[in-house]
Amino acid sequence: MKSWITQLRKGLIEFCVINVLKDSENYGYEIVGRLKALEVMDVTESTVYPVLSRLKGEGYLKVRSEPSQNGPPRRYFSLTRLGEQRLREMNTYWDLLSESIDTVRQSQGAK
Amino acid sequence: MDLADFELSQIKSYLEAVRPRLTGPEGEETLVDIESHIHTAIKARLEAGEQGNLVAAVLAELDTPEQYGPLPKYAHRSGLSIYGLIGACLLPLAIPVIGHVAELTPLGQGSPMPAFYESDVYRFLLLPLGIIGPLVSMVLGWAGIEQCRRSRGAVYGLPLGVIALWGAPLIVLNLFGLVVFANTSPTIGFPIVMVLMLLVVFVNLWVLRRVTAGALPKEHFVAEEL
Repeated sequence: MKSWITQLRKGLIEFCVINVLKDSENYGYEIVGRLKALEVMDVTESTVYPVLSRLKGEGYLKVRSEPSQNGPPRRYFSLTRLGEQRLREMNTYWDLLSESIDTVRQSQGAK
Repeated sequence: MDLADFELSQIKSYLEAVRPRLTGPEGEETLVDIESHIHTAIKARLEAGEQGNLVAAVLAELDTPEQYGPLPKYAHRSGLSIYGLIGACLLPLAIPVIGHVAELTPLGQGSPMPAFYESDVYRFLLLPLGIIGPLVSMVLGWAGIEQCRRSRGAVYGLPLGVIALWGAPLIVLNLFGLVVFANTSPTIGFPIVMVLMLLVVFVNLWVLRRVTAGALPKEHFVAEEL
């Protein structure tokens, strides 16, 4: 059971990250904070930051660096056009998936 | 927000422990994000009025380096750093140029070598190689040191990388010293020249020692230390 939940969460992190960035740009600390608030997702830095870097490498995110008074420059992430397309596709698929799962669950319950 | 040296060193230790676990071309960028995260978290705690060692508190809350993934398996690639090795091998290319510079000083007067330094072999082959070789050696030396550090012990040959990186600057320093001493020795006297030469040798050894110590991989991060 635990392994299934871990795998499910892992697959959903990318989906959540892209959705967090759908309206405005955000920097890593804010993104991690928003996702950490979703307790059921059990998200931490070690899962979010590599995903952010990978999505940027794949062209779904773009980065704007801003000098910070403390530490290295703060990197703000936002969706690229490709990322926005990905967001629409993922949300559409998620709706379809949850609808289908609900149908399956309800039909099981009816028996 | 000014952090003390030991606090900065705690952050550095954490990042050094995470670095080898971040695979892929974006690893360094991820590291910048994590470092920025740490500083932002410290600032947030400071603004909330917290006191004490905030760095330790923030690091204790972060994921452990192990949670970023397993260390890459260098077992198949372990061995001598090829960059450091090639870099160190390129350094001797500077020998003819060193000889040439020495030849141009009063020390070289009366030597039968000028004919060699005027030959085409020297001018079109050995001289360009003697200049380019040490420069390439510096780049390879730097790459070799990075390779050794990131492998966390799996790739060895750090001294070769250090020699390759610092060999050329030290050669330039020593050549400069040689030219100065050769031109001034008749006026300042042999004993003083000898003392100065010893000083240059000492500076060389000191620089190499410091650089080697600085290039050594850091200890593995231990969460309990915080």
